[in-house]
Amino acid sequence: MVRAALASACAAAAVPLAAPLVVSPAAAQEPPPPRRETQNLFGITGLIDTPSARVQPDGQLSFTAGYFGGFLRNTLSFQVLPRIEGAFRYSMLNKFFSPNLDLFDRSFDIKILLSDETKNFPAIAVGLQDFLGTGIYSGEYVVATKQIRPDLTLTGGFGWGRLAGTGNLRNPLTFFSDGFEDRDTVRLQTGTVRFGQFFRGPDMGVFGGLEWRPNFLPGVSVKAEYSPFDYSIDAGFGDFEQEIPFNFGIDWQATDLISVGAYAMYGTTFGVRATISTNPGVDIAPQDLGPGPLPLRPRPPVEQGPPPGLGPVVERIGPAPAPGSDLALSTLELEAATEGARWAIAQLPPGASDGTCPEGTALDIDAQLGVIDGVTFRDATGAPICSVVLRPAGQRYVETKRLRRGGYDTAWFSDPAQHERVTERVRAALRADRLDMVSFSLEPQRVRLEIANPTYNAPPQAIGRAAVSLANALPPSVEDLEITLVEQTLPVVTVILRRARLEAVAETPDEERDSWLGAQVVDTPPRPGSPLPEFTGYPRYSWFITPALPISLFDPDAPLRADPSIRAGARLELARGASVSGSVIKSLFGQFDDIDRPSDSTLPHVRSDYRFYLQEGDPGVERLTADYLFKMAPDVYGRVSAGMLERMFGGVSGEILWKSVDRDWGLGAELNYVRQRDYDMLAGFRDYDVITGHGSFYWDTGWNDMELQIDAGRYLAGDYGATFTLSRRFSNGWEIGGFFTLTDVPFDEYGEGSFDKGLFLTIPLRWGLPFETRERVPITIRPLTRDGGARLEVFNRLYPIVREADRTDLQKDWGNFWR
Amino acid sequence: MTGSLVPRALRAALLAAGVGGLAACSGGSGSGSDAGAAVLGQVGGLVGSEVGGLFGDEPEGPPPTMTREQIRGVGAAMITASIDDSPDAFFVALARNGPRVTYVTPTRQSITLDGMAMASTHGMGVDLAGYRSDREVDPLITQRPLRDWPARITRIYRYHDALGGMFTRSFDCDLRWLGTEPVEIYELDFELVQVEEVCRSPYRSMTNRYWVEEETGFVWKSRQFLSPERGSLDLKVLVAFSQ
Repeated sequence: MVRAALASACAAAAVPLAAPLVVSPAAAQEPPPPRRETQNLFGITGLIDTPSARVQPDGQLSFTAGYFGGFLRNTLSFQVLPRIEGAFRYSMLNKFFSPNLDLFDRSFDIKILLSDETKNFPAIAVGLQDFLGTGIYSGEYVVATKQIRPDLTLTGGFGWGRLAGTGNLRNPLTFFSDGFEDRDTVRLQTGTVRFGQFFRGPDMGVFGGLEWRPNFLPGVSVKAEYSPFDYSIDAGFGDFEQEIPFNFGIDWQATDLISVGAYAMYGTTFGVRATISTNPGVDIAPQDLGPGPLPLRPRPPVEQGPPPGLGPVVERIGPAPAPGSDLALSTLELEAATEGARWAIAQLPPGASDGTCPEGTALDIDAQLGVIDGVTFRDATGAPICSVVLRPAGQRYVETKRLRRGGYDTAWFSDPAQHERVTERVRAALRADRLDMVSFSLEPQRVRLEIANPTYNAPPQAIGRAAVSLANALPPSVEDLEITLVEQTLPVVTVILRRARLEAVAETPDEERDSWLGAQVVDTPPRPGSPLPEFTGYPRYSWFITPALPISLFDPDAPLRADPSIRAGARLELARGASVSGSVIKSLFGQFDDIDRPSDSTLPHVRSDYRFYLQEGDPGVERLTADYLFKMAPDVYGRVSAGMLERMFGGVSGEILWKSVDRDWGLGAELNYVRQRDYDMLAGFRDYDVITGHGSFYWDTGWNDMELQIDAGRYLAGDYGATFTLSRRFSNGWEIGGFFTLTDVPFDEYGEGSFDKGLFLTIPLRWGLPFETRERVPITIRPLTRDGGARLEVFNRLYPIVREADRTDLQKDWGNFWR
Repeated sequence: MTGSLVPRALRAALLAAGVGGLAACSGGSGSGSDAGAAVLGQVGGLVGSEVGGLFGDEPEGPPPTMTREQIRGVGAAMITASIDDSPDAFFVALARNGPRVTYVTPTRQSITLDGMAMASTHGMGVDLAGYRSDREVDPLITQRPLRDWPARITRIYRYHDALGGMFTRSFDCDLRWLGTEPVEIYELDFELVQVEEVCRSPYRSMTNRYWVEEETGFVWKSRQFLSPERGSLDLKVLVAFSQ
């Protein structure tokens, strides 16, 4: 307890000044909290009904519902990249077609921030509204936003299409070409990108407004805008009218997640908006509850002299100016067999060495040979004078040489009882960390451990826990810790860690970085005898019962249907990689029973009869397959599946994937023969069968977490084409992306929507829960379910199994290694 | 700033882990041997495994505690920590890595101290992942008489971000003495000088406090910054670590 009297008496007593402090942080400094921008009624960052040149924080994902005058807009928006904001909107326009018939419309927007705001210049953005959809909201704009006072922001812009409104100005582009005069009115038919419409039309509108954020009301924004929108088209048979082109309102950022707004719209009505917004890059639940890792306890030191052949070792790691040396060398060459390190051998001429280590010369040699990890200086007789380590790879080489010299007693290795004790000790330690030991083999100086990770969302955290368990449990002579991650029975990556290095870096300020620099990441070779199954330790079984919530979207009769259900499943593993598994689903309330939209597809009804499966397959066997997953080479994986592969198709499926842990891209090939299942989703089949398959290219671009996937081949309806998928996959498991499929089915034959397209997101539950789990919620949003470009769904495709275990992904997530 | 992040019942449910995973322990002192598991188990037995760490359920009776005799009986370096006025949790020294000593509870929460500077934590909700300062200047790391303490120091704290990376918060801290006061730590009485350290980063501020033995500069008790989400930890040294 502080006593006030003492405190005041001593408050002025300062201790002497310290010496200047020089420390260099290894990680980025905490960024300033981002300014939160509000969405407009279209769900895009903006004022009230018009956009601004502001965007959301990178990665921000928002859902906005906005309503006024009989128009409801539900928008999912995503800050795709720091400068690109995208949105998918599902709008309902009351009485659009007739007093009893509303319009349900799907549309996509994109906004690109062209230039950031500076002291003297505004931020400038260009946007395309409803560029992919029916075009009911189709418009383009160029907008500028400038903060003119700390609490006041001004926005102004020019608009085309719907944003030209009643036409404030003549479209200046028409001065360049008469072609810009023409712009289709709303056709409500296409699902294609409206390339030919952008920035066209006889008129151009202006819009703009003010946003005031009073300092005395944190989180509140007061807005006023001039909007050129003409809602006479949208109102249809409704009674919404515009009297003035002005809107006024208030927004309130209630919490980090939620903001709301209320507006006076066009002089005749009121509007409201609610937004739920979050960011994959910001945890919403504490991530460090629960048992932490045990501390790594170093082995007792052993007397270690210089590594053989290297002499005394000097470390000169880090930037340093080459001092310039005129020391002559007899020979200079790169040594072979150095376990990946570039190591030079420099021999000094007779009489050139006085016994001191020529460290400066090492830097000269580094420059001369073009980056080396270290150099050994030898005298004229070939005896080592010293070695200079220049880079971390050189450290590992030296450690290896030291290891070979030995030091710890290996007599324990000949005692089987010791093996058993050590194995049990490791198994217990892994169990305490909720990891499963798949296999374990010991050598005097090396251990090979295969683990299955049912617990940790971040693979490096599982590797880290396993490494500490090994280091604390193994006899001191075991130096190399070889840990293999096993995913769905496939060994996907092996990480080799030096125990001495872990001991050296544990609890140091840069332990994550230093442990990564000491880690070797390699493809796991196939098990002996592979690809034949391995029966030791089998059979094993598991089962589950879980609630499920299938959802049906965008049916005009009921745009959102959810059908609470129960899903039960079981899995029997007969051998390593060989299993039989399946799941059954039963609806609790039959919420899909009233779906009655018949398919008008002229293609084979491979997907568009989905309602019959939902209605008649209750209960239904979702999947029942026999699968064999195996490795054919260190970087080649295989899968064979047979049975009821998915809800609508059964048959046989084979796949091969080439994906090395060292490469950010992979190739796959899949071939399936399938027959359409009966609607009751039991054992029977219908009379439609097809051979379908794809060649796939997977690429983690390394740029802003963006990934590209191209699948080209034959689809379920027999059409040929390709699916293009672009997504942003965050290292914590969040993934948000979009896809489209173009096949040889013409747009008019495909039907409404013209071609298959959609959005998907995957949410890792760990992000929102205060305990470890690997569960993820995948969501796919397709504006329409049609038959063209429909691909077979296979639950255990190989690339998703292996992709989080390559070098790039492990490195991104390695901050969790000691967690 | 120091509000509870999740309901207590949920937090308590997360503390299911025991010490079964403890095995060979070497190096360090205190419990620096295979006795590590036994020592932790002993402490867990004394204070009750359910409340052996921070964030345990509110006990129905008085909070579990240890007498000085029991503490001596453990035979290892020990500290206590509390957060948000919670009862003291007992941490036993289990590993030493260079100058840093890691103290662990029976429920596998841990605190690593570099000297008396809190260098990292585990199991605190939002953990401190690392700590850096100028070792020569930092009196928490390089112990010295109070008269030789600096007036200003930079402390850099490292944290996990949500995407597997790390970021730092760098604070410039001004130290001042607040005066001498009696401090009792589990039946031991001290006359210690309280030093207040007001720290500022570009976006935050926080205050550390140390209760220091004037002649030796040893910090017997402290309140040290953990994270903005969790606030500060109150630490007391029950048995000082010795080489």
